[in-house]
Amino acid sequence: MSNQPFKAGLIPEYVIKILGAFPTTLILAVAALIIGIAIGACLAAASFSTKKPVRVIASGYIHFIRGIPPLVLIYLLYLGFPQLMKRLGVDMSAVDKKAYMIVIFAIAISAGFSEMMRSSFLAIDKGQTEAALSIGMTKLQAFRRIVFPQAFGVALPSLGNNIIMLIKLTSLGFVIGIVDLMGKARIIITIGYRTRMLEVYLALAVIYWAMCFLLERLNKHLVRVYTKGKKQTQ
Amino acid sequence: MLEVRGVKKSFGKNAVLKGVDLSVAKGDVVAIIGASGSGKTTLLRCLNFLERADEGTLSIGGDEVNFKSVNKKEIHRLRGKTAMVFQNYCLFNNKTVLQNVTEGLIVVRKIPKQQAIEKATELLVKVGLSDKLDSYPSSLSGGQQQRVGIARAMAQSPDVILLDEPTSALDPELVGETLAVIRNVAKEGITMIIVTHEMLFAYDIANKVVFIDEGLVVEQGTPTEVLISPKEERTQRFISRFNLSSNYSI
Repeated sequence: MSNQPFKAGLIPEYVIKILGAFPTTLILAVAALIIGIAIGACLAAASFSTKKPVRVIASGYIHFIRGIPPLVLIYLLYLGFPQLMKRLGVDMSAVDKKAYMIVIFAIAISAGFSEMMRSSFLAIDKGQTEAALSIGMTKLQAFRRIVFPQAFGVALPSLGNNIIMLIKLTSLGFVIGIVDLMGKARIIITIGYRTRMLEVYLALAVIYWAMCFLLERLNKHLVRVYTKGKKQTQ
Repeated sequence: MLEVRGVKKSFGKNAVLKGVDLSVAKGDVVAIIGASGSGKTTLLRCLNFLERADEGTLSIGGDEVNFKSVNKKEIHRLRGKTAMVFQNYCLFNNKTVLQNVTEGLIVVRKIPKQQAIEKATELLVKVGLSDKLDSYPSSLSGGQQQRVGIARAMAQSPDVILLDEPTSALDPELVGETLAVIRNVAKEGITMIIVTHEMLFAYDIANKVVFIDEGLVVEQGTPTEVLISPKEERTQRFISRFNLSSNYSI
């Protein structure tokens, strides 16, 4: 590795180059978010189940996932799991890499999303549901029209945090060769014979920082709009 | 008009209702009194199926169900005949005052929006909240919130309104305005069952008082019979305790 002088002027150029992979990061994050919310919602619903085995399975899953570093989870599911399936006679080598990674990200965030939903629903007084039932609503109507909108308001700040965590998490996709922002940065570095690592990684950091900064602002704005005039919990 | 027979309800090993009978005629205002933990609130909640009684029958306007075998459809049907006013108001926090009242009309009774708004506005004027239609519950006082609760209940045009200690979460200053509204509702001839600790109010408004103790109806009759010259010893003890405490209040 040669020791070249630092050139800040190169950073904007690298930013633009790296941003070529922005769509990939976006797809990873959005798809994982949707699937993660779906899994999280199922887990949250399961944790409120009247059947004990269902609750035990849900909380077991949540505790298991929460206790594993994301990188370990990726290797476990991407490299380890197919070996198990092979022994069972299922060949997983044809599975699309990106789709597989999306599912892994979704699993990684599902536990946190489930806990977020669970605590938001618990924050809504039982009386809200009872009042809705007492005027003749069905349980589903009570949930959709009364409980959910309030729980959403409670969840909104931590939803923003969870999404930011997810965006940063997608940078681990490079370990299985996905060319997202991080992957692209590494390619640029390799092409440049590893001489401009500082500039490229700075450019990459700026991109992630800007994304998270914008999301944070957006979230704050949404929270303000959503809670305007109404206090969400008593 | 409303009749319950042999209502029993236990929470685990704790038997809260041990076979309560109660009959309410159309236009009756029934006050249920008794010590905390005697089962009055549970009885009221059973009538609206917020609590599922273990045994007994409930009949409203000739429509009878057995608590043991009641199904979802019957619960939904009978709930439509009652409306509840809650101790802690339980207004929908994500809805405005007006929406709190129209919600049931539009979503449950499928009344056209404009008509629902008219009806709700009329009711809210009646309870003295015409200037709060677009406020959210969190910006209202307890007394105002409870008046919205009463308007919301009345909007359902129920056969009977169930009021669960409607004033016990209010400070003394706000009790008066709320009781005045309830009194007006009573004057309209709407059937009501009120669980209350306000003995004077019960005496004043009810035409029937029911004293419940340890999950059983101990005594019932006119306000004079139960509150002034009770026959049962347990009732006498309860009433005297109340008189005592009222002497000490300022």
